[in-house]
Amino acid sequence: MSLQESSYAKSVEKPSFFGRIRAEWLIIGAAVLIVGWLALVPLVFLLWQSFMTPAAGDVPAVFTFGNYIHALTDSTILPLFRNSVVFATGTSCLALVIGTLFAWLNERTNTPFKMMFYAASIVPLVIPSILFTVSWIMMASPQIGLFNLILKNAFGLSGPVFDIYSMGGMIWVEGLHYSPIAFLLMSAAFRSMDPSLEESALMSGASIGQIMFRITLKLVWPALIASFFILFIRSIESFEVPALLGMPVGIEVFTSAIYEAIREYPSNVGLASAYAAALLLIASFGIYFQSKLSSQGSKYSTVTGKGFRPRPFDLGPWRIPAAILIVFYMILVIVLPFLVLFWSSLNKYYSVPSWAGLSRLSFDAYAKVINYPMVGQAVWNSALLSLGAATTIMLLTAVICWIVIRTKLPARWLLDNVASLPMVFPGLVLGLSVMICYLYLDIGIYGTTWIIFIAYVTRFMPYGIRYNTTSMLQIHKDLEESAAMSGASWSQSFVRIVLPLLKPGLLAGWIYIVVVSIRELSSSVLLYSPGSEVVSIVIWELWQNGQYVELSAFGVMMIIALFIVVMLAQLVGKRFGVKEA
Amino acid sequence: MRNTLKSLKTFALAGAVGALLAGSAVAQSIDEISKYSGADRLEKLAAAAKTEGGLTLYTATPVEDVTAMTDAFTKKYGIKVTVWRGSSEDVLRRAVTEIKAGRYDADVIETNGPELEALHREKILQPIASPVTPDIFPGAVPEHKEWVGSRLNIITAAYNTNLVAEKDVPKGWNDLLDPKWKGKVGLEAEAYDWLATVNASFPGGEKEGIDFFAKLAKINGISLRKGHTLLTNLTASGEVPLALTTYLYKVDQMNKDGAPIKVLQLGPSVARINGLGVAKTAKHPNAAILFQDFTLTEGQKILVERGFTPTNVKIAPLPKDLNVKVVDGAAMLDKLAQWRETFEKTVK
Repeated sequence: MSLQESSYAKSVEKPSFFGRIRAEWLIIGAAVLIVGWLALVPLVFLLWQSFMTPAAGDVPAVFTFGNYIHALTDSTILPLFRNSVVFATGTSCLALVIGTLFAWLNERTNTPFKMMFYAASIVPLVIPSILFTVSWIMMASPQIGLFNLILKNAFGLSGPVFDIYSMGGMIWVEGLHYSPIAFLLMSAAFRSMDPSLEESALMSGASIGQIMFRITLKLVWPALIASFFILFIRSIESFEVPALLGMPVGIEVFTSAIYEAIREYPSNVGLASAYAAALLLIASFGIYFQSKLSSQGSKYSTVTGKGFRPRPFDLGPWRIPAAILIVFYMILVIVLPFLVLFWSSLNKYYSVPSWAGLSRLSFDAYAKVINYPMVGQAVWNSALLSLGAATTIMLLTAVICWIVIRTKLPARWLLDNVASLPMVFPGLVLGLSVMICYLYLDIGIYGTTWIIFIAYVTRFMPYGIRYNTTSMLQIHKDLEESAAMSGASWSQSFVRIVLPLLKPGLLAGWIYIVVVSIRELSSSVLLYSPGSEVVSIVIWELWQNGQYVELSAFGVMMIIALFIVVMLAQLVGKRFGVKEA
Repeated sequence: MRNTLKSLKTFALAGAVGALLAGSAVAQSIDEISKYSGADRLEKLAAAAKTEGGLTLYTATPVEDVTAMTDAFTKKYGIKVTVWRGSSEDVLRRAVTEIKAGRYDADVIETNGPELEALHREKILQPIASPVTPDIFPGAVPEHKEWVGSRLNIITAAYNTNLVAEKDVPKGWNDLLDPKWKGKVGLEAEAYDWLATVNASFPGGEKEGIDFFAKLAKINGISLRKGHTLLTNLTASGEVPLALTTYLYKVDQMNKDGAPIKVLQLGPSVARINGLGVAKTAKHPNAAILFQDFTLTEGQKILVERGFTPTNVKIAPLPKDLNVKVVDGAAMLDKLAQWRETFEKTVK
């Protein structure tokens, strides 16, 4: 490893004790303050609102316990909550199994085709979830689904084979859509895992299955838990899939209760906040459970001072089935939805792919989207915002994770918890809290792009925390200790040891945040102003006006652009940090 | 925290009042401007608007349509319009939150009837005496004149022409009870106001309407879809052979593009109003009032060109065969919960 060889000869001249402490505490203190402020604004707002009645016209808001009483005693909520839990559990399990399997094949084995797989795997994440769901309606609805039509004709069946309008269908679509979340996190974990334990097991005659379950998965346990947690929370909050696939057959979820409360006039943000407070409790429990893991010290660290060469694992004859599996997954999750999207972008109206449709194709929609009002401005703003937010979040949360994992500060679990909570705030409540905060606290950012930046950093900070935590847990503190022994300052060892070793997690988290912040709508729509439009506003606009064809064209262009960004990020990432053997 | 907020608010308010007082030395107050009805009203407005230089519009109208309108306005008067776009609820939320916090960016607010009525209740809009008002479709101007409807969003049934043969097209509500429609009828999932309005239009009154839809849901099932445009697109693609609630202009437009979708008259055409009002706190009151007038007069022709149904019946008379029932915005605010309950009991 090149890092070990680099000496710290330059820092022989030790800075004074106070100088070192000051620089270190300045950075740590600033990070804690920023994260604390960002996370507490929506939290305080949410808790405050949950005790208030809605205000309208002459009727002011007053203190009440009514929202909680309503939320806890409403008998119609229970079945919704049950549906949500079933849906979220199913989705998380499916996404986790798929994501982990492919991350393992991609990172730890010599399966063919893996190079392009990493970038391709983010495609489902880029497709707006409305379009992803509609494309599955086109493929698997009992009425017009392409799969059903093909199977019906091929085998002369009387009824449809797949029914997308069911709990199973909802889990399938959402699970596939979210599998990149698990894939990115698990890839990072597999990448910074020392393979020597697996190799020893192989030498001792263990089978691939035994190695996978007894060693590999046990070592990445924190990453598995973190993935499950993110997936669970995200699918509890998800709105599109339940609305598009569950609603027609009467399956309703918890989020629709939150949505209904906000939609009323006067908008009952208080009741929505009380519902969200229930989610906060669940999430806090999950975060607490995870911080237990991180307090178990170096149990999961395999990146130590000893030689570390992440090397692929030879699958032998299993290479072929693995390759088939990868190709099958790529067709199902990436190629097919992309083709449906591409097909509809060439049409004049949304329709199922068919021979007859071929004659109608044209590229008109692309020209229309490019000339759409505000599109150029929006792309520029979104690019700046998402790259800026992702970079800021990953660096900021790296410091926070370091505090939580490496120090013995008394309330460090609280820091982890507070920084992770924005994950469960309904986007609209978060947007509203940021809006109101900076309307009254007039420091000149209201109405500028900065307020959206603040909202993005707040909203996606929890993901940075999770991605960084899982990677940080794998790095043994040996390395930093040796650096300190050789006279490196805290900032030196942070920048030259911790960050490079953290790279897999940093990069995966960065990619994830870039993609999801481009799609963020619920707080963007409240916070943007003329001149600070973002891409998600354009998407929403096209969706609302029913311009699905233009929306598909826009989706296709977005996928291509982000695909290139991810490829570039990977290339740049390869040039820094730990060289692979 | 609270005190700081309060003092900040007072501070902002004092600043605003100060600015208003300083301004009134040269310009008229919005009350005076909005009440003036002399023959030279338009000229005076245009001249004063020019010195104001521009205006900000918060709107829920699709961006291409609103751009057509603002471009024509700028071309005529040389006044630049800054547009903020959001859903009808976002427009309401943003305008109320900002104005209560003392930030007076919005001059004109354009959104749906219920949201405009909510703005009226929040005491945000300025009543305006305009000579155009008498020409407007009667259901589109509220008593208080704080906002005026500029177009009707007509909701109609539509069917897929590939899947529904000409002879099978239903002529009236009862035809839908035929078992051949099983699993083929779709409805927007939040069409609470539509159902209430349609129910009331049944000859035997509301009860008959509720009974009919309950029966339909029981015999053939009604598939609920979120969003009118989704439902319209699903009808064109064949997923929903017959939809009860689609936007008339959207169906016409898709039909023109060659999609196999056609409008169907079943019962009354329920119309949601879309209109605009001027904020009391407008920084550009003359330009704002001028823009409202423009939308209700010359702008109406632009709306027709873009497939909308304008409200100025003197300029664009409503089609004769159209039995339009306008949704009452105020009733929508007060009865939403009740309507929703009826909806859920009846069609789910």
